[in-house]
Amino acid sequence: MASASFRLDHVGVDFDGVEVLREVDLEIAPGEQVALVGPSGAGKTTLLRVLDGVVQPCSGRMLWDGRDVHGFGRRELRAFRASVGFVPQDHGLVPNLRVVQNVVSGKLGRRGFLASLRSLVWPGRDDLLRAHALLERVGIADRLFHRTDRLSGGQQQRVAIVRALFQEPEALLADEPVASVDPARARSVIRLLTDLATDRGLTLVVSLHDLELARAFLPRVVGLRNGRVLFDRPADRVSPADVEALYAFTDGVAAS
Amino acid sequence: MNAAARLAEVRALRRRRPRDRFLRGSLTALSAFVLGAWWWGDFGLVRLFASGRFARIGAFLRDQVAPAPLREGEGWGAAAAWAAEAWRTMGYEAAWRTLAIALAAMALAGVLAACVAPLASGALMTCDPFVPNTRHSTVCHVGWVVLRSLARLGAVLMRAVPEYVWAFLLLGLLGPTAWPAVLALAVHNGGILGRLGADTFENVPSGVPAALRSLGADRRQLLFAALLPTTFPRHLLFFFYRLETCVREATVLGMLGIVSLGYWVMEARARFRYDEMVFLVLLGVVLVLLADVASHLARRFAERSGPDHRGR
Repeated sequence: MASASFRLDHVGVDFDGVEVLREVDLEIAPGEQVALVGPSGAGKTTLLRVLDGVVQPCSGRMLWDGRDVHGFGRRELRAFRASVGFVPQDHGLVPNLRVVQNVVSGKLGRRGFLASLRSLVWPGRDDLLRAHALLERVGIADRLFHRTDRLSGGQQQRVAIVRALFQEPEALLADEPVASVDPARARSVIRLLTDLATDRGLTLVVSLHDLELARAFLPRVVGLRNGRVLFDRPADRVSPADVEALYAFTDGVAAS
Repeated sequence: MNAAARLAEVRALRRRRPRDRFLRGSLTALSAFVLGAWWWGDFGLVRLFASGRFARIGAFLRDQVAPAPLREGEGWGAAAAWAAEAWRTMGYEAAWRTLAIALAAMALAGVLAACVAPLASGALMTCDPFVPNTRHSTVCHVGWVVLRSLARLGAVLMRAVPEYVWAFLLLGLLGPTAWPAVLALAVHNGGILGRLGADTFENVPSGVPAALRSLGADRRQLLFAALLPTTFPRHLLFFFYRLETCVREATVLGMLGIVSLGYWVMEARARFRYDEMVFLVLLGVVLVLLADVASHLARRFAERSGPDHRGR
């Protein structure tokens, strides 16, 4: 499967005058696996959403495979969004649909209205087989026809991951995938994501609170604080000083 | 796993999938009722499309509904003068009387609902609101259930009787003033808003009220410090939605002989002045649109005036 490259040039984003990202320069090669770390409010989610094509930079530019996303027409933008899989922190699944219906939703961006409606109501054989195979890969194949809200939180997260894979993406973005799970489960989720990305040659960007977890499983770590890139190094070269700077507190308030 | 084995597995999973029998049964029953209603309802679809019917409708629109000056070929200037005259002689009074009835009725409905909603809400009307798993005597438990059931029953009775019927009954008691319309709309809408308000209170996530309860707030304090602020935009939304309906209903009640738009509509029809009748009907549409705009503005205002909830 093909994979995609991202490049951010001096990207800045503000929401209603609040600066969320400033002067972010970042280059991610095809197939690379990157962890995005930083304290709450550092701008990790916003950065992921810029990469996903759903937040437009207010300044600077975002290049996807060398092409400026800002110049995309409707059709190109849709194709771009369809090739980037996003696993939201709250999973973003329709609770009262069956797992298979949530999974085939992954193809919405690549299908016309009627075809997607048909696949939701009556998924075709190929869709079923693919959904089953992907669910099997994450260990919940027997839940194919279960109502999504009857699954545990961890299982729902895997459904969200499978939906992103069903999309046949070139890049996979995961927003705080381990925010609400215990440390052992966190390791297995991150390992699942990196394994899936390696198998398929996907570009992977994962945002995390936990720097140790990032260093243990992802080859490259980008530290983000107050909307700026604080450091960007191979995992084994992240120094104690980096950690200090990333999470430094003054009087209990993050220093700016 | 090869494709054939996987397909067999998928089929087995589908056969074993959890099914909701109630949902299936009710959907089947509903479809049967709908089909039956069309089949045995004796609507006479053939009659709707009987020959000449559409031609007659066309002729009616052309010869009766178009304003008199236009029919007589006097041009748009004359038609505008005709419309201005119609506005001056009846449109103006019909419009403001209709609006006045609706506004007066909604003010009363709001007061009624404010009394009923907290009393009918299961969230507040329990032995120890927002505190789970506490043990109380059966008397306490049953007492609160009875109280809130009474409030609910009151709200049901208020809205179960249609406003048209309320107005019809009150007309006999109060005579042909605006009061029967105002009271009918107030009672009916008070019942609806009371019920919606009670449901809104029940759907408040328990976090905020539970926090205040845990520091010792009583029921009234919970209502004013937690439930009302968190649900205020929702109540506004319901209120203005009902206001819009109320403007429409005030028009309809005129057809009972109460002086509102509907009265003039009937009166124009009785004189066979269909052009004036249509003018008044369109005026009613404009009033409803105005109410819609007002509700939109009020909601925007409510959202803006709340605490700043911008996030990253």
